[in-house]
Amino acid sequence: MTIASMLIGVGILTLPRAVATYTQSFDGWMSILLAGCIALIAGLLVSKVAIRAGNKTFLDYSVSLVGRPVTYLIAALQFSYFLGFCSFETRAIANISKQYLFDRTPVEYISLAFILVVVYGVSGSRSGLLRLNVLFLPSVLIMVVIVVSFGYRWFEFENLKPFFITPPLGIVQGMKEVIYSLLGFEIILYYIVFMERPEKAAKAVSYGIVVSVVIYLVIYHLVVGVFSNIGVMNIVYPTIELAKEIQFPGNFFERFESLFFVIWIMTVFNTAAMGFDLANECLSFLFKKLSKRYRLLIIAPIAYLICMAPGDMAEFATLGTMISYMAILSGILLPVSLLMFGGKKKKEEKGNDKSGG
Amino acid sequence: MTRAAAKRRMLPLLVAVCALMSGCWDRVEIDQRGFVVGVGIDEPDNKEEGKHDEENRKGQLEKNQSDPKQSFKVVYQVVMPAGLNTNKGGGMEGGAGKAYFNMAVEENTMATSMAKLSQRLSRAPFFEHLKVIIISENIARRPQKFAETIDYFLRESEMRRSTRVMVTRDKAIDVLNTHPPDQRLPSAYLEELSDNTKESSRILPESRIGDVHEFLLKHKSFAIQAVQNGNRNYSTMTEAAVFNGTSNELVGFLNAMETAGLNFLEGRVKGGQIKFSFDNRLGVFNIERMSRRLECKFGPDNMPEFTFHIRVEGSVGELLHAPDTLKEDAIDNMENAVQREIVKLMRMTTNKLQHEYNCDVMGLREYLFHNHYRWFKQHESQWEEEGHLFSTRPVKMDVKVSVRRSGNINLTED
Repeated sequence: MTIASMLIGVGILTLPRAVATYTQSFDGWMSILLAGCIALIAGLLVSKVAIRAGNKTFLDYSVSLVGRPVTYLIAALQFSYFLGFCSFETRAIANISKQYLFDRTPVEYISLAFILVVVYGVSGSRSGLLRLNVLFLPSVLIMVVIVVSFGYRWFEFENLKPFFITPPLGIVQGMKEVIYSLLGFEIILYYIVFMERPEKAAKAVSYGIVVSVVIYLVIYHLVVGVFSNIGVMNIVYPTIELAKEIQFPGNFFERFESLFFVIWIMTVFNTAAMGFDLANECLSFLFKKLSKRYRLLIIAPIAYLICMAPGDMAEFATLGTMISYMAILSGILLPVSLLMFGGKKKKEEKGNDKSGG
Repeated sequence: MTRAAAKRRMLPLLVAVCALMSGCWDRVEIDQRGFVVGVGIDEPDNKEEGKHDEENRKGQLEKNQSDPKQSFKVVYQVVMPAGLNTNKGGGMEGGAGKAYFNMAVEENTMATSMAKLSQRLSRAPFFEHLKVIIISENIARRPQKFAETIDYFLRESEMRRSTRVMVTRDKAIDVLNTHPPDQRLPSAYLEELSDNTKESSRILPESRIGDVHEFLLKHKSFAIQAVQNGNRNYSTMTEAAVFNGTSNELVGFLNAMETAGLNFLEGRVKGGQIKFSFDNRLGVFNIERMSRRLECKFGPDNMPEFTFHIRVEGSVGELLHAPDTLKEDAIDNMENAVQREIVKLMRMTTNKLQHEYNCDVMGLREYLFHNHYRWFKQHESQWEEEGHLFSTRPVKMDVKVSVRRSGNINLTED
């Protein structure tokens, strides 16, 4: 549950466009599936690290493996990643709300309000945050079902044809975009402490990834079927436009997208709050003496500054890719290398035991 | 004690929060909004303006004329809520006046024309209930102008992709002034009129701005609804405006019959009548259902040949001096007559599209793209433009009609 709601963030709104830009007609489904497989493998590896860490938090575990100085580095890296992640989500939601909801409210103010709410959410108990996920995710799924079932009115199967015409390179590029939207499962490293049965972490991670891949696929095929590939390429937020198209019979509820926004902002809130919470966690490792309140007070302005740094859409996209690279580095490569390192160490220990015995 | 103190300390904070955090930047009360329900885009009429308006207006006009870019004359139809209300009260002859007014603005771009509109209106223009956009022929015929005009309506977040776009031979402002007795708003009237595809086979399916956007991006030739100004009380929508996919400009119109033919070719007939004659008698066939399948065969020269397989089902609507409508051979006769009629319609359309306009509106290009991608990629540029492949492709019609019912009666007179 948690994993799925961490993965489903802003990506769901822009992903169809990113995929459609690199692929032709409906071929993006291959990109999504393949990327899902890769994410699944990476997710399994990462959760293995998490399981190995067991009751210890990830950072404590890494101290026992690679020593304190390196762990400081790791923590700093993770901290900046989660911080960037949180600000990215905030800015994204501010941009979109500005576009569709608040015409005149400055973006600065929207993101400030959002960050304040996130800070409030994070300053509570951490397990409460996780429970919020469990609360929100079903409503997201219901929303997707509604969008899909009412959106089918404009669905044209012809738009999906012809199949298999994208060159492999395009599919790979599309995959890259999807993977960015699937990053985030590395939170299991931190949240495994809260699981009743940590040995099930791998299952939880794969469940979360599969759910998000299925949702992406469903939305993607619907959006392409409705707007056609080239239409999707040129609509900035295809999923929102789709929600705007929906009209319930009888003009009773003409503005469906407002409801869609409510639900969707809830999930983005979750995503951002978890990013914020983990940034806080990493900071607590770096500076053990600070109390939580001070840590939050330090992080919040930084997050706000990062979030307001990009001036236009292009810079914002650059920020997005930067954060994605950091995610790959700190979320996948680091834990996996730790896993390899840990495996080696274990073997050595065993060898030592044998020779000692 | 400490708790109470803490509470007391919280109080100013609470007050501050209430004072500072509430409020809304974007609040516009509903009675302050000017609901724009229709937009018409004409080319500016120079003579009239020069006569009527004051000097500064004239100066502006001259500037416009010296400007190589021609500007638009944009007509906004704004709702007057008062007019709507009195109608409900029941005062028919009170003539509380119209529920709308039209305001024309001349500008080069839509967004600035919107700004100009708000300089003249007491209420801020609000577009979320925009129903129709009407573009006059003169604008649509000019290269690129059509796409320029609808850009704003696609880009702005208040706009919906389901707004209707129509073209008119007449002045858009005249169409927006149509005043049907049973409808308060001409725009709402036009929107509902455009939905009447179940009643008539001669109305194209509604042309939503989102679909038009896709056509423009795909460089597909397309047809959208064309509206004609009848008189003060009605407009008709039985024409189709044909746009060329490469230049994205209006190339011509299809008349009512040809529009029906196009609807058959695209398989989008939902209802309507076909008039047919056999044995010197006149009959009317009600269409109830149709299906369409396009088949494509590649000849020895690797060029495609198309066949439209069309099945139509329906009932007898009206027969003058009827034969026994329950007899097998009479039914066969009628079916053949209707079939000839439909083929005739489709032939008319294909002839006009292939030989006069050279615009592939009937979806052959799409079909090739979807089903014969490789061939299509090789011949893409020759389809409409250079090679005139489209206009020389043979198109066959295979129409089968079934008359299922004869209505309530068999014969009227004996």
